[in-house]
Amino acid sequence: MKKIKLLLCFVVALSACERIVDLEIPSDNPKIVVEGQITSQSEPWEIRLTMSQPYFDQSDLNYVSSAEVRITGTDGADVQLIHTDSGYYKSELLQQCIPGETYTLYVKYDGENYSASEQAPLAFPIDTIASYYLPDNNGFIEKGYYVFIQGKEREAEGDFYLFNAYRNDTLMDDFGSNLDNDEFGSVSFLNENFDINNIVSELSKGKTPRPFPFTVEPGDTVRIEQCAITEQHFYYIFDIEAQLGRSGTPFDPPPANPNNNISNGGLGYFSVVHKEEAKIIVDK
Amino acid sequence: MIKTAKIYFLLSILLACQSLLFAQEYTISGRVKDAANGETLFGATVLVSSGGGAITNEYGFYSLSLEKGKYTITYKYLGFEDIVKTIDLVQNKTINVELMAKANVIGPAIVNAKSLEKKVENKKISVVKMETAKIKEIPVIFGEVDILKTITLLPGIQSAGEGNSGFNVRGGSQDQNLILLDEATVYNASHLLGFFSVFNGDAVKDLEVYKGGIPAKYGGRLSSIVDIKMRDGNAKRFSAIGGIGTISSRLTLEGPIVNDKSSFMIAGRRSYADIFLPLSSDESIRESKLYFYDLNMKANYELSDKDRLYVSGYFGRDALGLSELFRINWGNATATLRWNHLVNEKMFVNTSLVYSDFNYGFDIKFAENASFGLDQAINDIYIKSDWTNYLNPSSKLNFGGQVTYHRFNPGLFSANNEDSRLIFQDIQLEKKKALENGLYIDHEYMHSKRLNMRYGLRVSSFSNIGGSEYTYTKNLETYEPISSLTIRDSFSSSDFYNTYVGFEPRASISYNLATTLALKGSYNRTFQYIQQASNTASAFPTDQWFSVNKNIKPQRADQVALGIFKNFDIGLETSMEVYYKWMDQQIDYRDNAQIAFNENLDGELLLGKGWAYGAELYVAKTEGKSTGFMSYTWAKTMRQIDGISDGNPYVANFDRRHNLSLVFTHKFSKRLLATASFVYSSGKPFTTPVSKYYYGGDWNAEYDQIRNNYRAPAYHRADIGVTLKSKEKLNKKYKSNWNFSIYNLYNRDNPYALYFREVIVDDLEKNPGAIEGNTAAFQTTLFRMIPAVTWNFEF
Repeated sequence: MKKIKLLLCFVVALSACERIVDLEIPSDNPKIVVEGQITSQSEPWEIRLTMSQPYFDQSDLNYVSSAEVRITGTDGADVQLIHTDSGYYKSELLQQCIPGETYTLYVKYDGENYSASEQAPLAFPIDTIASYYLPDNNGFIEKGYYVFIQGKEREAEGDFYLFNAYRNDTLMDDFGSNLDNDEFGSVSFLNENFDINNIVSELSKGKTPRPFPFTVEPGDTVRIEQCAITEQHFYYIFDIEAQLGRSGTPFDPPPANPNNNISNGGLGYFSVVHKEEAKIIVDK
Repeated sequence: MIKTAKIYFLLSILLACQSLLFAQEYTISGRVKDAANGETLFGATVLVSSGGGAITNEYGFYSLSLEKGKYTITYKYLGFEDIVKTIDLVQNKTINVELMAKANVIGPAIVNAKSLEKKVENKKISVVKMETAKIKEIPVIFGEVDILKTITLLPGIQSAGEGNSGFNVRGGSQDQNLILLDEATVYNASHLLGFFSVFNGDAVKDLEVYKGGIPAKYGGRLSSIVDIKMRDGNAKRFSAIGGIGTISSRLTLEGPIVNDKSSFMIAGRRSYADIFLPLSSDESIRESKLYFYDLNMKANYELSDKDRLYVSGYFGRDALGLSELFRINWGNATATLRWNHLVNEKMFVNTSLVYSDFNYGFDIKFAENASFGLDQAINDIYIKSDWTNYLNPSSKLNFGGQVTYHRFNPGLFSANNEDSRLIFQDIQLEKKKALENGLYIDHEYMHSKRLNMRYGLRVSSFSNIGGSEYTYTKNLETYEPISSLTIRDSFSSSDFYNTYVGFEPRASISYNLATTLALKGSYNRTFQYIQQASNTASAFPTDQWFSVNKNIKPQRADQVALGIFKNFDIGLETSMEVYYKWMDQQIDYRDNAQIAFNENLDGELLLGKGWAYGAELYVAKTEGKSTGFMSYTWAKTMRQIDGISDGNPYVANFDRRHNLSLVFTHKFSKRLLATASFVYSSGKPFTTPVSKYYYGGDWNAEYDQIRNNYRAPAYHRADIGVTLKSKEKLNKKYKSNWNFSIYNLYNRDNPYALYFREVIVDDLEKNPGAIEGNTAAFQTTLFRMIPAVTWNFEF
């Protein structure tokens, strides 16, 4: 889309087609914002609570430190989360959610009660992780080393994934959408139809796997987290990304708030994910 | 069966009417043409000395029935010399007339005006007619003649915005305008994503826009009809016109096939911005494609005194691409075959067979094993027949019908090569078929010199044929269909499983208080059965057309308009109209709707009410060296749809409260003409954030629940243009002119889009004082000042 925009700008000779303007827009009262994710891996459960603020208010983020936070599960879990710092609430012990069970977050703050529920999804582990060298810029990505994975979808439709890729422990989060669903399964990050045993021969035919679209160097450690997420969570991220991608072209989506799962008008999302990981050290 | 019975019933009434009126009368009929090139003249008046008269139809035909006797008949057409004929009417007569253009016509005004004392009568309420000759004098962007952009200067017609050839008529959305080119529906009238319209000014004779008072003959859209007619071609001699402009070059060839009997016209146009792409330093731009072209063709042939055949067609294409990686192309193709037949001196019939196609394709190639395409199309074939019975000088009966077969291809997503096919199975969204019918009768009646009326009824129907339909259960909060509860029903491919019928009464009335003062009123009901899924600010070729079905009921509108028309001796024409429009089954989309390539598109729609009202003021000076017009519209356009704005009424996206256009033309000499224009319109409504919240490492906007809670800054702009004609030489056919224009003379920074995001590093240079990571409002501007030059010729 960036290139299309570039082309459009060229067409109309828009060298300075964009600028910051002053607008006096309305403001609503601050609302609580939940950012939380619990996973199938054994780790402390942690969520963050902050407050929304007027759009042009450039002051620091207002975090909530005096809320009561609890997560319960249909598996019998009942976990208290304690405020640590900057709006983060954490469980004392390691916790783990079980696929198929439903978990509910309860937040009590300033006399108001908020809750959010999700059922933990299920997914297969990642089969293989590999890297390859792309000798030329192919129009979408530059030449260089790339990492990709291979895995299996569950047969039934309705798998939704979010991939997090870490290069030497740094989250690579500006490569565009890292969402994937099985609507166009065979072109997903799971590369079900790429012959991973004959990478060189596949590449020589002009075929490529779908890699994580950032270059790496030999010696780098790349870790991929495959998070199976719920459909609602998938569209929440999808809609948020669409809104963040506004660029003033006619392709922009109409302004809309994503559908979340926080009751009582809270913003943000509480998610329950099934997480699988794979790691590779890139070689030549 | 019922339909056939209806036709017989109507026909028998018509025949009965006719036999009653066969007194001792004779009929004068014929065609009125331009003496210079044989083009038929539409809207020429034929006045009878004893009172009454006729107006030529779109084929230049007129018919006048008078009692036996002696008459003086005057043929008039604006900008042409009158012809007066004295006849002794003792039998039916055919009189074909050729009018000569006046020498040194002073630049006439935009809207066609008939002879001064008559024009208040002849002007129809809520209808504007423009001729290309006048449109060509008004500068538009890049100096290109653009008929659709020019009509937005008129009252009640709002431009959908800069860089967009769409327009909104009296509170209607863009897809509620029916654009006809020689009777063929043009589904997408835009070139270059909307920067230009698809109509080549050199190929177009004239256009009429019906904002209201829509005659029963037209149907299928709620808000307006734009009826564009191509030129027939010079029937006298071979000639050529053309030009070289900033964006495109044009060439039109025309001439007689058989002298004075038949002619042809072929007009082509192509843009050449892409010629400069290889000069770019950016590789991806060098390998890009970016062009449009269009071709208009028309020919006519006189089979006999009573029969004439016309064949016309349009073909246009746009392509936009980045080397072989990304391509998008779209275009319309239309073809019209028409047969004019004179049943007798009083009965004129035209029967047309029309084909219209719009398709759009998109290709993307990630790699040899990942190359995909998306194709969408709408395709119509229809037959229509329009009959006019010239009962007597004060009464005219029009009737006819149309049968349209629609085919929709909502999308085929396919692999583009063998390797991609190995991993990807084509996805074809189910193709749809439908039949749309219309049957109408319409009476134009001049009760007295003071009172005129026209009333009629159109009966329309729409049937979905075969295929499947979905029934949705929606989430009561988000209005999102719950996919697990969506039920599919299938019907056999010949099953007319769902039919809607609409009765559309139409009426207009005019009362002349004096020769220069008239009161006019109109009422019309319209139905619309197909529409475009468009969820962005402007209409794109990628926005697919879809039809009504069990989930989506037909859109319906009722409109009343009242107008007062007054002309002043000093050469001023004025009019004021007010209108109110009620609209049902108006379409909008739920928040975060997925409308592209969605099999369950109708599940994303929300339906509700709309209403619009406004006042339009128009003042034109049509005579003298300085001419021009002022048009002002005050308008309000509202929607109320459950699921949007908490169910409260909200301002429609295309509501513009104030609209003003000023156009001024001055003729300095025979060779030098200058035009200046100014437009102002209230800003676009849009929805702003009411807060921001931090999630996922970014500041996100929380948008107001009230849709369109804010208005962008106003749009305004001035343009100027100068036309310098070559010296006219006696007996030389060759003529040329230079046109210089400046768009956005004072370099106004008009908002194209306003949006909200975090400031990034790239913004800092252009926005001194900005801080990275802060949230800000951004504005994009499309066109600042743009000078353009065009050279035109004809011989």
